[in-house]
Amino acid sequence: MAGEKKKSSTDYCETKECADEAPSKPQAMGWKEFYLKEDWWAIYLGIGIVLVSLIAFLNGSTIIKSLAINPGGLKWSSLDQLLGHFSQNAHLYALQLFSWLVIFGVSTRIMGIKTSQFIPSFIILYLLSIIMFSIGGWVDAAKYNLEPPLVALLIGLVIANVVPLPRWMDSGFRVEYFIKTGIVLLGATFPITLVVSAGPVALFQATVISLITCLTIYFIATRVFGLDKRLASVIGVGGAVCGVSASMAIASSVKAKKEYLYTSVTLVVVWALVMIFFIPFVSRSLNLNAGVAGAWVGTSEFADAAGFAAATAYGRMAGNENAAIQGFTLMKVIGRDMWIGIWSFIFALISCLKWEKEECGVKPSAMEIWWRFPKFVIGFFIASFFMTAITAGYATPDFNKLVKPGLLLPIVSLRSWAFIFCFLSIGLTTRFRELKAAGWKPFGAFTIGVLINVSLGFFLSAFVFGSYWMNLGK
Amino acid sequence: MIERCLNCKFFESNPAYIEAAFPGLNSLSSAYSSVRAGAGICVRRGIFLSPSERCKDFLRRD
Repeated sequence: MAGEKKKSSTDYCETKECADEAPSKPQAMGWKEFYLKEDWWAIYLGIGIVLVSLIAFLNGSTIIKSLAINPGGLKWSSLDQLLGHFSQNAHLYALQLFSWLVIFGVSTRIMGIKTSQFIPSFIILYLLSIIMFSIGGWVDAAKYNLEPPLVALLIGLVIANVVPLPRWMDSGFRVEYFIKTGIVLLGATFPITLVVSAGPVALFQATVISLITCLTIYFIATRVFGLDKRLASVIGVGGAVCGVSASMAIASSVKAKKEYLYTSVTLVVVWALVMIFFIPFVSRSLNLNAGVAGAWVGTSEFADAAGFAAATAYGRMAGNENAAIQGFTLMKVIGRDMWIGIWSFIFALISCLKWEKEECGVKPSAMEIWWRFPKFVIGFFIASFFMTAITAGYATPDFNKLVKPGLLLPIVSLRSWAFIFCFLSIGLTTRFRELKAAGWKPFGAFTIGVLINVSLGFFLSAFVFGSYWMNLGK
Repeated sequence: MIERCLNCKFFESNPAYIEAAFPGLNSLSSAYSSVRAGAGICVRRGIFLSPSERCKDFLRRD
């Protein structure tokens, strides 16, 4: 049409003129983020549980200890023994279910999830979790490798792929919300001194692995397979940092086609499930130290939820769950997750200044690093710092006799509940028939990245920094 | 004046919509997480983008 400016090849209007005309609005959600994002709710719930536990402990109340009941430590050898435990404590389990329903139900409602859908699916999740804990509490469970995280995942997968569960049930299977709440609770039993002493090593190892994995996938995808650079960046950061979450962040930074994000979701989910089983069983065959294996999982697994399943499973196999979880947390939550915002900003800059050039009208802001920051990590640090300060005042005998059983172990039990909700939810929400076919080229590029990541992750965790990771959990 | 995608009728960023659009996303992540930072789908162009983007096809949401 005469007089009308020619549109850009991407059909975007992001010329300099548009940029000048556009109102300047912040990208962040503002105050809404504090009640619409599960990261903040995980902080509120986690810190809230820690504070209530502390108040109860200081007042000599055993209410939290009673509410934190789970059958995982029973070591039962007959069904009568197990049923006896449940009949004797039915009121506590009922109260516990009610408490979880209230705190998760209200918070998810505020975030916009329908309560009428959340309640029935969460009740089913809770009942399945009791079965998982019971399996783990069997006296011969370890003999048959019946580690609750792996069993929960497998049973969830079988149910989701055999029984046609209605999709609305996903409302109660909130994988990320549960794992984030569990991570904040984990902070309460994670000495801040450990974060300070091992954190720099974790950050360095995470930097090495993040750069090498991302660049490997990116260059193989673009140079060898000739894939679009936006797809390459989405799967590259997905493989290097934090799986699906990182893919989402990068996809929006580079304005990727939605098919690209869908492809990355499929690749990450498939490989993350493989790694949940691969790393623990290979670690076992190599008789790896639990801290080293935890660091390896943290270096090479793609998502926090999947990684905690793998680290917890191997920690139990090796008889030092604490070391494996500490190694994983340092590497993944403190090390690699920090990279999400940084990569988002870098790729937004590349996309804007190099790929789009004249068409770029929305100049990337360094605030991207904060907007994309996984905020629940703040809750982990707060809980860690707070509880380290509180418990530092106790002498070792008092700590072991009073603080550990009266305050820390109930928090550990509640964390185990949050984790088992998560592990089951991973399985229950993974329907293989719904995953998009990724295509051989993206699969090939991602798989090469996975192989390099896993090999390098093992080398760094077992040899280069092995002496650091071996000291965990002591 | 060209407005941001946030207020555009073609921009969908409802978390439930995002999770339904990408089956498998909620298996290991969540549309309710901070890292998404309000990003959503432009249903007109089929791309995933930030709410602060803009284009000439903007149509104010009813």
